[in-house]
Amino acid sequence: MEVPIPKPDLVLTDTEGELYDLRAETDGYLSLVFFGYTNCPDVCPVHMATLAGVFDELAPEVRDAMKVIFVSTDPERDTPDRLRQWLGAYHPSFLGLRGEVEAINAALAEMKLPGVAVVPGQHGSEPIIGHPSAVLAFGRDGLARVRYPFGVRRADWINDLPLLLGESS
Amino acid sequence: MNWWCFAQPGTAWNWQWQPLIGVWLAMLLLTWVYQRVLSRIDDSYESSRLRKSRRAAFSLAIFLLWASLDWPLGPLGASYLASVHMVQFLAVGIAAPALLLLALPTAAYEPLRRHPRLTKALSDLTHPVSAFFIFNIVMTATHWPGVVDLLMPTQLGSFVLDAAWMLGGLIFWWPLIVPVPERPGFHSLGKIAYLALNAFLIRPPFAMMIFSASPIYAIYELAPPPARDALNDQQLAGAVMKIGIAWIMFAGVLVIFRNWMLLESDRPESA
Repeated sequence: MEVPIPKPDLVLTDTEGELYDLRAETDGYLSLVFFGYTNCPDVCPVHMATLAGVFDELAPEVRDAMKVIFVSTDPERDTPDRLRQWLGAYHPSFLGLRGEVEAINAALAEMKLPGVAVVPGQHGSEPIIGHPSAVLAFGRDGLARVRYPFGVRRADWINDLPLLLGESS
Repeated sequence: MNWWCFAQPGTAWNWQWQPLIGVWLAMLLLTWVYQRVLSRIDDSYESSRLRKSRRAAFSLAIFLLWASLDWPLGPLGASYLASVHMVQFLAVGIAAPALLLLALPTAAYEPLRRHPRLTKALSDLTHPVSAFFIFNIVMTATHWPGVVDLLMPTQLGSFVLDAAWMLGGLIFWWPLIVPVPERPGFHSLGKIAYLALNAFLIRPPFAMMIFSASPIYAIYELAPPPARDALNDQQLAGAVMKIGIAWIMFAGVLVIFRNWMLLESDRPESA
């Protein structure tokens, strides 16, 4: 990105029900932040599966310096249990956060990302939630310099993440 | 409505039936051609049992082709699961070509002898050494990650891959099954060695699928569920490829060995 994006001022709830201040809790870590929902049929499961595979391939010192944060854009259906179970199926270290959609939309606007859009389901099917498909990588300094769109492959992540850690140290 | 299955990256799988018109037309065309060939030759010299076996082989070939290319295996293999893609390869590129060649009576191949140029071309193309290289080059190329990721997202590209599998398979089996051109030097022992070599050969795509630390195909790596762990699926695909080919080749070895023994037992003993 031409202009780095600062980490938004966002306080949400984790899957244990504790308050989670995104800036404070991820300070000094390389943080991959993604906004999605567990009923997502396409983008979210692919991103999470890819990142889970990436995590297993990283050197322990890189892995320990990183956090993957999944912010639910569908807090009604993504209960803490559901969120924990869904993320845990990908990787036990992935963190799930939930909160009011208004607060999430404000954070998305701060990061110049499109807001949450609810598309009602047809013929009794579940609603579809529009959400940004990119993963933002915030360096240790709290600035996002890279936005990873849908389609980034595991090998690219494995190549980039150690570099991002080094860059933002 | 689509005519052939193809990869649709980023599209979620659903169990809604999709017609694949091209697959049906291909099956109808193959059946029509087969019936037409049978109607033009006299195969009454073959035993009733053999004729029935040939028709059963053709039916099984059509079933394998239809089941592996039509919905749901066609779209699943084209877009979501490398392991299903490999099952399709075994059906389209290995099993069905053998069955299609076996389905024709020997009389169906006799007219080829009337065309010297064609016989010469077939003699070169289906020579065991050429067939070995052509089959393995086609197999390696059609499983090369860049080729798969380039061709699979279009219906034409996906069709080209399937057609290449089928042609490669026909060339591979031709010297073992088809009596034209005659190859008196290609003894049963040579045929068994030909199959065994292909069963045990470690091909580059297999090695990449099994030993690569990351998924090698973008379309399967970025496929939504039912795909889950692309690397596990890829390793399963490698295992399916290796074990599937080995079993089919082993079945071929058994048939050749049995025919060889029958031939030897029928031969009059020399004094």
